[in-house]
Amino acid sequence: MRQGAALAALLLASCGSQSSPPSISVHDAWARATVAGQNSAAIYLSITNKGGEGRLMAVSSPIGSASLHRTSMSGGVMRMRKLDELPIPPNATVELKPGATHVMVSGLQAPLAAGSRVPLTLAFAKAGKLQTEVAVRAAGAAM
Amino acid sequence: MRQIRIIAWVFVAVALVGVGFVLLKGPQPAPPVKTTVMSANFGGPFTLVGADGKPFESSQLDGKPYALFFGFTHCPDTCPTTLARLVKLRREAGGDGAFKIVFVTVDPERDGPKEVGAYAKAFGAPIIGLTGSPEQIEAVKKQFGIFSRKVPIEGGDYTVDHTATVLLFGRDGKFVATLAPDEQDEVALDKIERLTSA
Repeated sequence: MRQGAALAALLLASCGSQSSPPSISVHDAWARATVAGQNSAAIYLSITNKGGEGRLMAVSSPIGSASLHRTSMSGGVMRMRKLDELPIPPNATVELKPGATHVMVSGLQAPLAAGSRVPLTLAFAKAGKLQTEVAVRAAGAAM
Repeated sequence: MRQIRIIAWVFVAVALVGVGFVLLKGPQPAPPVKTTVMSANFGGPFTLVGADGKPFESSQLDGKPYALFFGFTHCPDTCPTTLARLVKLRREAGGDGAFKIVFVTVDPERDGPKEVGAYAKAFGAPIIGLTGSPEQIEAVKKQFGIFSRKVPIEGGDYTVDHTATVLLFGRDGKFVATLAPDEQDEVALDKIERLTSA
């Protein structure tokens, strides 16, 4: 009986958010179309975590050089800075959206055409790599 | 009876403190206008370069309200988001002809007439794209209180921190209001209503 209780406690502990692995999915990735000559683009998406603490460490795409950036606004001035990593808390959805955290692609190889799809790979600390497809919308698309 | 006297004295004391306060502070100044860009020499005529490579005079904007936004074509997030939002708000406020949208680059080194022209066309609605010599752009930035600064990024490239506030001008060329990127659409539409009816 005692052993059973200890085992149950152990099982319960392993279900806690500290030690359970993150269970991450990526959805609704999109970007605005770009015109010839424009060398950068932003990709927006949602990351849902149904498990323990997760962390997005890197992003990559064959369309250019991808990295995590955050736009901030102070006194009407827009600033954009690189992020080294992005925490994805347990049981939460983190949105990468216009005017906030986003994937920035610089050195675009070719313009992004509205209606096309481009691949994006996200590398998480424990959950490993996830691949998603980014839907390219018209540049004038509302968010 | 005693209680009433005490209460009465308390009233007198409060009144005296109030009078003293007003006397000390003197006449109250008018409440400050809620904008950072209003000044006597704000805005004014300018000459830039249009997408056709020809000079663009600000007088070409006369007779119609316009929204002025400074940005750069390699800006991945804020600039396309702001322009797409302006196009959307303009449609909600009465259609593509309700007011003009003017995009001025703060990165004339990379954005020539061809670049601003192609960029302005990408939003599926009329947008006037303007550039100019670095000196012309500096002068216009100063006129409209716009800040911008190049920031190096990896790979030898750079991005530009810049004022992302949209400036609204009435058909008489007078400043009406600003639009902030993070304000509610309802608030923005209220200002646009003032813009188009001014």
